[in-house]
Amino acid sequence: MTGDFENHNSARAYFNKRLCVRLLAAFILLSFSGLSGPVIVAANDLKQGDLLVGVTYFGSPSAGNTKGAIALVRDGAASIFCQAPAFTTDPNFWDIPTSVIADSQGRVVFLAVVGRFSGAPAWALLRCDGIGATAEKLAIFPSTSAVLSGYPVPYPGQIFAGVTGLHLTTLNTISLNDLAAGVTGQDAYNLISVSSGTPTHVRYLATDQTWEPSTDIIQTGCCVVSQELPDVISHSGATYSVRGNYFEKVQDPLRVEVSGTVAGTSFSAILNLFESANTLNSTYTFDSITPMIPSGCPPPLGGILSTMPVNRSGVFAPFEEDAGFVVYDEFTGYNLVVTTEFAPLYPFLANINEALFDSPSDPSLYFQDNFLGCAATPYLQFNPPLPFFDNATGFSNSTIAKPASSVNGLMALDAIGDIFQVVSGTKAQIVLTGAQFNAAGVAYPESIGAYPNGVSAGLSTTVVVRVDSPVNVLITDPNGKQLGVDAFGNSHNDFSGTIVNPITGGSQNINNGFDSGPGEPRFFAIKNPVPGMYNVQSIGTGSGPYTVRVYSANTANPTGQQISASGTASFGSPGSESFTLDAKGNIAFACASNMSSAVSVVRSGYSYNVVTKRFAQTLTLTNNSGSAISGPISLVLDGLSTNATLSNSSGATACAAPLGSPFIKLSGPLNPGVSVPAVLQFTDPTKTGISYTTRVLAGGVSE
Amino acid sequence: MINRNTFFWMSACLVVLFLAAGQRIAFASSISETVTVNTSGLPATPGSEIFFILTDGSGTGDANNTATLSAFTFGGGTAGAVDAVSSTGGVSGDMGSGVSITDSGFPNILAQYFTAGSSVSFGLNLTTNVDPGSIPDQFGFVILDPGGNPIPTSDLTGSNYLAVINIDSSNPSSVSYSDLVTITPQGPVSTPEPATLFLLAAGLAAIALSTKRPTTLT
Repeated sequence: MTGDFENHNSARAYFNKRLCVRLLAAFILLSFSGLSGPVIVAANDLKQGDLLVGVTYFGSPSAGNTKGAIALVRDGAASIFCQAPAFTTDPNFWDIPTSVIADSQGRVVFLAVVGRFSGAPAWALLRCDGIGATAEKLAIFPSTSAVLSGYPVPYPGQIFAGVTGLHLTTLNTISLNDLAAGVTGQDAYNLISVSSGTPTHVRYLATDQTWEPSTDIIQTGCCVVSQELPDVISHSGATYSVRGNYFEKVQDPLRVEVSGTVAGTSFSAILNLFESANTLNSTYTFDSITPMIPSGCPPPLGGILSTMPVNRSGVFAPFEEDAGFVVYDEFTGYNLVVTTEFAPLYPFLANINEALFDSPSDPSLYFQDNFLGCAATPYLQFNPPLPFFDNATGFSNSTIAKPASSVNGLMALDAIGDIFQVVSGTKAQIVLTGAQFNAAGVAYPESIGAYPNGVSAGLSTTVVVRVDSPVNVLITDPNGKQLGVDAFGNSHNDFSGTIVNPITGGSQNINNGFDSGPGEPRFFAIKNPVPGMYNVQSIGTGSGPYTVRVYSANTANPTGQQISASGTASFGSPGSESFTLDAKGNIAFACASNMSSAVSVVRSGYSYNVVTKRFAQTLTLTNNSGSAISGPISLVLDGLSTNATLSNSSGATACAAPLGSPFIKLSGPLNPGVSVPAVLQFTDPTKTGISYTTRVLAGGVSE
Repeated sequence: MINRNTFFWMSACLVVLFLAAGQRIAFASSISETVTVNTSGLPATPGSEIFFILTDGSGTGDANNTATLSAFTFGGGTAGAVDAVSSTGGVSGDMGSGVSITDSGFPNILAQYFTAGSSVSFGLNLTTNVDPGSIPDQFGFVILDPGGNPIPTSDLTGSNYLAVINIDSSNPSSVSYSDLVTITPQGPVSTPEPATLFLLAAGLAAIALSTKRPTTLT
């Protein structure tokens, strides 16, 4: 065994020499060959629980300068996932990887510094597709007018003061056409760029390979750019950002691509729906374990707390000073966590209660502040997972970088180069020491990411109503909330707006209803619609055919649903359709109502068309009731003798029984006492008698 | 043997029965009209075609109505041959001798060619027994030009009837769908049905026999 081991070692030494020579030769060739494209290595090299750490590489092969690298931490050991070229003179050189994430395909995406040794310092967005891969250049964000060549420049001419907040989202797109609804998703690499004072949220669509601005709002009204760059994270269709003493939650817009044909003309458009933002100033934030004492104020109104924190004057503000980092723990229950550099006496990690974000007008989230004349004052609770340091050991639980949400919990980096795991108690658990990093030839961890990257998409049902004019529609949900345009031309949107509590003054921005505005087609959408019966009332704004399409889509499902109803409108003519939505997002038009008792039907004799060889008949429908009957009105022929076919049928009943009966549609409404004719055309090759009974349906659908 | 007095009273009874019953049952109502169609716009040759159509609303071919068409004139034109292929149902005669159409089929059609003159005119007598159910029998007529195209009318059904009568009452209205058509009503007529006529005749004959004196004494 010993001999074998020695022989093995000899072989390894020989191999290492040969390998070293080959690697060096390859390195030199690559360095001078002008090859700039990435070396494609199979993706999916990552395993669940892997950590990716942006580090500085100084190990073997040691020829060259210290450089950037991405370390792979797996099973208590570190190795190199990918690394920069050895020499700073190399145009592909990068270092200081400040942010790192893993995308859904196991590719490692990171921000690093480039060009600082060649007079063109910039941030670059890079991606390593697998172990040993050369970093692929996705974009460059120059900090001076000099632009390092060889990189895609998504925003030519812009100079950036900072690039930060790299995070992954799944960009779901709902696609709607004339006949169907579908959902597609792709990775989006989001980051915040600051070029001229205002942070801009931009994203790279990994499948489309394009850049586009995110439409959400990132701390536009806050802070000094040069001092405070925001950090951002996405969770469940919302984007959280911290910057200075502002904390913002933006409900991400839902991207909807629509296409189709109206009156023979094709159209396509991209709609962004439902975006809304609520911003908090952190002045009134309190540790959830801080005792509350009577405020000493008069009895409060409207459910405001009559107690206040005992340490009201000593405000706990986890993000009151410099902006920290924000992360959402997708796996182990800490949920929204913000880091702070406030002071050693206060927690560096704060598990934030989101209640005030979601219901900032809720009076129960306010207390009477005796220090402010008993004014209603909002409070934001947080719960520290760990103290700032462990009193027993003096161990600092401080992190130097944005923690990563790993399947094993939040992972962070301390100041001495350790990776630690955020656990309950007083002291973080070390996952990998700085010494272990050094053993892998790396040091100075800058950033940390995890695979899989917990990306929680906003899963919700959305109902979209598309109206091909000439009608205005008004949608009423089961609770009576309305969206659309009424008979008087007034717009309604009960699903959106700002709610202001008259007592607390707290306001809440809600945007769950969408109206694309005048134009054809016009779109209305409702986010998270309640199950039940929806009514779509229409009023003609002109003459001609119209179609109302209702779509249901959920970003959790690749396919949605579409139903449609058509009719002919005239100016001022009302119509009504009802559809049901169940808890699973299934939609169906409600059955039309049987109005036979209110409508008399007088039938003529049969005429015979000597040219077409068809029989015809005129029926006269009269509304004998005292109220108008809204369209569409369907005249149904039940029990039609089998020798005959209704050749001008609009369809067959498939909703209101008896089913399978042919019908023709008539435009409504039918006012009291008014008669309308309906012509039936029959094919009857046997020329034998035609028999049937009539049924009159109105509203809903007959098909 | 029945004596003469008895026979007289039996005959008189039959007449009374006839008179009593005839108010409600025995008389079939009908309408009579003179119909004129301006055909001056039609080319004389190669010939046009007219379709007289009586449909049975019940669909059973109950033969309870008859359209009798007579006294055809063509304003200088002439009647042609009957289109046997297009004709169907309870039809007989032609425009020369007179046409009878009974609703013994679902559609009952008499089609006949003619050479158009300035007009086509005919007398129409149509019985007006209302079918049970809600669909009436219907009488109407259509003219095709020499190209086989119907004279366009305002007929809502698209069948291009020039005029139509829905037999929905004992005195139904005639509806014209074209300015080319003139309809002159001749008034409703009550026509005894054949069985009733037989009953009346039998009663009157019996009365006559009962009052006739014998030629010889016994």
